[in-house]
Amino acid sequence: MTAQYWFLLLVLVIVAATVRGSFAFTVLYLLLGAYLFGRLWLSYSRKKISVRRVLQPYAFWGEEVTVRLEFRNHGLVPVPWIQAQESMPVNLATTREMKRVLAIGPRGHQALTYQLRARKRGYYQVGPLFTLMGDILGLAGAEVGEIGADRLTVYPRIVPMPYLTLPSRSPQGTLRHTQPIFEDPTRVRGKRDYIPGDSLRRVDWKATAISGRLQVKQFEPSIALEVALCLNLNQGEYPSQYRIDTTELAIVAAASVANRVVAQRQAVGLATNGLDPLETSEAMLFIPPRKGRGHLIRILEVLARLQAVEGYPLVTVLNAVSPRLSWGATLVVIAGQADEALFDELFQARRRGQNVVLMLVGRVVNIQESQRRAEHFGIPFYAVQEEDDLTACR
Amino acid sequence: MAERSRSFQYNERVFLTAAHLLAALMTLCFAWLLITFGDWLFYGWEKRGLLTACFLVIVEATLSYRLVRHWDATLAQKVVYRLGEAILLGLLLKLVTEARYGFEHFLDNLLAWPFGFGRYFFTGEFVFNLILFFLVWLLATFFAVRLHELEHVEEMFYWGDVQRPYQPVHRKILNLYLTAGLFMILLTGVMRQDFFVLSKPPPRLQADLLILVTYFLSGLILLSLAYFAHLRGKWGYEGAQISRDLASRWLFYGATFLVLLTGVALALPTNYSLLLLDALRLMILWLVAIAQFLMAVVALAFLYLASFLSRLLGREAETLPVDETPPRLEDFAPPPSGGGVPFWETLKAILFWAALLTVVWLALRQYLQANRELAETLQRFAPWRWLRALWQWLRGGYRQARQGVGKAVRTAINRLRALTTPRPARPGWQYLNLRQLTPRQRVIFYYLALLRRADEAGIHRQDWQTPLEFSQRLAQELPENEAHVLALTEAFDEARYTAHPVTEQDAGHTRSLWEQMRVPLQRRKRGRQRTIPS
Repeated sequence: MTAQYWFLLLVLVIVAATVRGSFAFTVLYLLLGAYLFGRLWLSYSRKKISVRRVLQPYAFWGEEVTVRLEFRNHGLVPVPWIQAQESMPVNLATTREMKRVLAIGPRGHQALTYQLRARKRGYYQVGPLFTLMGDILGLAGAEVGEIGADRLTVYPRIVPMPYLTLPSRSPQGTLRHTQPIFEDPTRVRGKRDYIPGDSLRRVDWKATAISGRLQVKQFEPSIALEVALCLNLNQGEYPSQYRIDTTELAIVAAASVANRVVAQRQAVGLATNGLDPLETSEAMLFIPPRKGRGHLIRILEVLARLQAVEGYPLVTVLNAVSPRLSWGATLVVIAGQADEALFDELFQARRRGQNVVLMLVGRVVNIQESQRRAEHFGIPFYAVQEEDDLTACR
Repeated sequence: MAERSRSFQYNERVFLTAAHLLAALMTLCFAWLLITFGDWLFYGWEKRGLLTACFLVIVEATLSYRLVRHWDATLAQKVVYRLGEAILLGLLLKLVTEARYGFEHFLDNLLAWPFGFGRYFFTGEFVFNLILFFLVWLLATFFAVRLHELEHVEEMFYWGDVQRPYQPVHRKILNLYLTAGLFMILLTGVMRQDFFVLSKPPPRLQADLLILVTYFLSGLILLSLAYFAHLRGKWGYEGAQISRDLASRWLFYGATFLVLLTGVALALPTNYSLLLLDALRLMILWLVAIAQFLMAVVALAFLYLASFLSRLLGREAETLPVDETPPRLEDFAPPPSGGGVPFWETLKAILFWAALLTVVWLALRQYLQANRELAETLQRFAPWRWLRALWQWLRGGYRQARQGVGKAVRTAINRLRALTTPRPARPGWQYLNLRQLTPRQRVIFYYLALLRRADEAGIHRQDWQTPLEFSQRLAQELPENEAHVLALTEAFDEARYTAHPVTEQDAGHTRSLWEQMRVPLQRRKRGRQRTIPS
């Protein structure tokens, strides 16, 4: 309210006291009432209004997320106007800004919706929502409110890798293998007559009793895929000019491999030197291999949040992770480049009985040399320059 | 702006037309009050036709401003136009002033001009009318300026950012409205005084009240429209989407608010026959009378009870000697009414003072809240601090008394409830007997026991965690028992959230899972206790 308004009220009080005239009191009540009732109205409305943001906290890459803002007036007095301005993550926003003005009746409600497009993986903050309310005369000023932010996790893009096969040295597992090196005693394929030399452990005594001849069980060959993804997000180990794109590609590769492994009902884990903003400890991030969609989602959540930083070298990560994996597990190393030290470490892992796969992403310097060395050590090698290359990995 | 819908433009036009009409009405009220004032001041002043002429001046001033504003002309051309306009208006006013007395009078005055133009043209009445018309024209022009700004408020926002800080147009209108209103109140106040012996008695009470209420009410409506236009311009400038029904709701809520406000303002008492202290004295006397009445009622009840008890004990009350002399008629005569105030007048006065004091107190409070510096200065002022301390003490006392009474009442109510409601039978054995539980209850019990043990081991379940989420957390902490955790959680989910039958075998299996979980959790708990310094 302006000083002039107060001055007029003061004059009115003086005139009213001097003149004893009804006109001064009526005008005084009118003007002061306009201000006081306006303020009371505004203050009451502010207390009685509630705002709720409804959105799904997770989204897959490419999905559209609908954010719904529900305004509810619990009071008996209407809200003449309320201005709402929502802060949106720039990477996901489909409009320049979300600013709306609405009026809400007594005990009424209104809803605003807007869309976010999951264009880029990440851990985003949706909101806060700033509100501005006022009276209808502009005398009572405006009340500013703030509704806290919510979080939205956008998973990294998952590229289908239908042809990818990861080897294992484990003698017992759940996947059929084309080369019958190991057989799984839990997966009986059939029975045949006993041949001298067969182990007595293979004899099926019930079938023998029924048929009257010695019968032995035949098992399916299999592999066990306990896969650990070792993702390098140490900034220093990526070429500076392609760092952002390459690290993003590495994360997409990790998500795609994890998805492929889980789709085969195998266990997958993750080790990385990247930074998870939600992780309070500075220790290296390691998720032990587990099975199931729930575990995949957990890995995807971490991958969604990961940031490339100046962290531990990849070799240190491998050094720490490899001993924690079981014999026969597969270690998929995803990096931007491979040097002598890395190959030494991969070789050590092989000697520990683990299968090692090397996947170099982005524009790799001297890729032929890396490929040659991988072949020399007998390490399966994949070069992924674009996301579409992942589909062709076999 | 180009893509604005037709309905939006229509709404805008309706709002602007309404604003122009309100401004014209307010200026007309202003003119009417000036005429009333002139009539009161100059006995015998002819005021016929002046209000109509004032209305025409208002229309002319508004149109003229719009014309000059949109006229692509030089400053000199505009000055010449304004001079011509002033001369023409002056001549027309002269015509109106003289023509009201008849054509012959006008002709005589016209023929006398060559013999003394100044004396015969600028007569006293004409000069007063000229001042009146000039004031009205000026106010109408000011309103036209502000309404033009209102019309282009969005552009004002844009250019305000680029060129100079933009002062909201509704504030300017408020200032203009208050300035003219102040002037009108002062004039009305003067009219109510007996300064001038020669002047006429004050005009009828309701006439000036009507003018003032119409002016201020129209001003509030105009203010509301201006504020809406300002906000709409701001929202348009900022690119905010406006709800379709906002304008209609604004109008409805605004009209309701102002109607209620006017009703309250007209209903509240505006005159008083008692001064503040007299009203206070009467109010205290009333309160004392009410208290005496209540005490008398309590005493009567007590006396009745005492007499009842004494009768039970067999003691009869002593009979007092009765005065046999007949009563005189004078004893029943009502008390003399000289100097007494009627009940209704007293109530009105109390209501008036209560309303006025509330208004002053609220105004002072709001003013201090708006001016923090002044409030801080006042807080350093000793008498103010004492007053504040006294107020706090009174408030504290009131709060304590209220809490004490409330507590006593609640206790009494609880006691009464306890007397009336039957007590539940207390179980003889307070400990949980697992064998008496159903298999479903046992499964739930084992899961809850797992939660408790996990909590003791430092693995707290958050409120927002579902059993599945917590099981993942637990599996992460105890990877070697992952299968047990998951199985136990699954069993709990089945027992708690499904209607599937839970058998004894299920309960036994859950127990075995729990047994296997207990050991690592205990181990973890002991390890934790060792690491925490005592």
